[in-house]
Amino acid sequence: MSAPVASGARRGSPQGGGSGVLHIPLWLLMAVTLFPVVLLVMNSLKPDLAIKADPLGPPRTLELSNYPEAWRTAEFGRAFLNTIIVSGATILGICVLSGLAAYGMTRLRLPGADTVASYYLLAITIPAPLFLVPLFFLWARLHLHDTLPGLILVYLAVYQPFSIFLLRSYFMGLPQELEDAARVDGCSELQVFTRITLPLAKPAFLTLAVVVGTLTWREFLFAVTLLQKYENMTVAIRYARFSGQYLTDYAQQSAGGVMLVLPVVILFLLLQRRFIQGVVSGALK
Amino acid sequence: MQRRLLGYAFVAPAIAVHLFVVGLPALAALGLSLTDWDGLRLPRFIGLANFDELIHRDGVFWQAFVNNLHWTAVFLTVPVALGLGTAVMISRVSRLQTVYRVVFFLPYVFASVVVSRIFGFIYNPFYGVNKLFRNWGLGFLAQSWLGDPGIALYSVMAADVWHFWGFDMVVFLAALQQIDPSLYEAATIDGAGGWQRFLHMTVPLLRPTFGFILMMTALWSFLTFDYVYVMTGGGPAHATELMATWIIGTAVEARRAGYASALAVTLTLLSSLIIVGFLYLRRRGVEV
Repeated sequence: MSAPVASGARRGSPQGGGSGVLHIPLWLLMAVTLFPVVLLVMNSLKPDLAIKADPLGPPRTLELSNYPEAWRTAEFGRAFLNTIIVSGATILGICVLSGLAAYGMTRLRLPGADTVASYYLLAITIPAPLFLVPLFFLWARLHLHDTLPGLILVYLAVYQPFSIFLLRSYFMGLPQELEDAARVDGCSELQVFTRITLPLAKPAFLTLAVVVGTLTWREFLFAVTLLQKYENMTVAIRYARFSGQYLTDYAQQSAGGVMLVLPVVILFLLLQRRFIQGVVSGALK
Repeated sequence: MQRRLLGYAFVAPAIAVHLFVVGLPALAALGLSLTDWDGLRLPRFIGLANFDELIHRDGVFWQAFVNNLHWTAVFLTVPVALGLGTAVMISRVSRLQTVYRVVFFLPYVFASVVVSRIFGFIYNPFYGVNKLFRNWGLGFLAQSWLGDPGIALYSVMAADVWHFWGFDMVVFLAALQQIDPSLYEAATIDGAGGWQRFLHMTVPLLRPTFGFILMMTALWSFLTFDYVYVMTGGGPAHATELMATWIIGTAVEARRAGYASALAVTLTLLSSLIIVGFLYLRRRGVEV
């Protein structure tokens, strides 16, 4: 008798129960999560002396000059350009390489497609230091060490397993009839791929671009190992160096930090659903 | 037939790039681990001497290994519990779900360098939380967060936990949202309480997700690099050294390509034990 009423009342909160109380721990957790973020933004707006006098207090005056000052000291102009080049080339290259590979694996009845998939599955478990140590010395031999193309090439390899599995599962869910019709009409495989499959898979590629772009933007291990000259550094590496040199100038350090994370944070806030879906897609089968 | 050949042409560029950057260098590391090489002259074959050194004379590597085990133990529990608990709470509230999800995931998009610097400030002996404690008359709580070998590792971990736990949360939340709500309704009608439903329905239904998260967390914990490199450089006195920071330092700063390869091969063996362990449990019928 009471069952239908209960189930009706709980629509929207599938697991039922009095849910109002749950907002209290969630708000507390939000406060803890946002505290370091708020601290960073506050410190970026206070004069350094004020930070040291009253470390966790709100800014009394807005010291906006921290930003241009940090931009100049860290020479962020060149570093941002480097990061944009590296991220852009990585996104583009990953979409082309993984798109073709995933299409070949799902659509062309490739003998050994399972072997290819197993190779990439195995690749996920290879610890980065195992290939990075020989690579560091190999890149020096090939004059790829301390160059942006050398770094881009590494990203094009290490983000492949994630990208191929994401695209492969998306392609598998696409209907084949359109592609078959195009083939009957005399399209070559490359034409089928670029004119039929690619437009249909646009959402998957967009998700891929957002996730790979973010990972590249903040990547640290490969960049710090393979880039040496100041003018070649990406923003993340330049920031590490700059903030290490001005370790106690918290005003500039914080302003630099805000500038480094801001582009990605904005992208995330605009595309959060797609973003989280992309990150999770590797986790759920 | 032609279509099959074409298939190879589609897959070949990706495979070629991956083999060149990851596959072949990883194989080369196996060979290099048996040599003495500075990266410039020809590698000199020295048999298992590198492994002899790392087993008997490289105390730092084993200290780093133990630190990695601590790291793994914390990451297999704290972010998982936080992530699961929070995901369950979010799935039960009817408003603000998106806000919570976005806020808790936000730290994950932050660059590790910036997170390291924020926490470096919080841990500053004079200006960070210590100052706050002193102002509140709680000076006895003040610590040398990154300078005390007994707690430095945990201080660094806290920064990474703050950064990472949102990932576990969104994965659990996505898995929870795939569960058919009518299952819960049926259980409720049968008189199951909230805790019973969680223990006997949610947890079993999430088993594959647990398996994925625990295995990936264990693998990633063995590869941690950024936070230690930026916050402490492995110090004080290698108290926060991890295998990855020690290996990269040995290669890049000490230029010991052969020895660093031997260390990396050992790291790979240790981390493949984790995978073998998971596969063994799965074969034994434990659904992880």
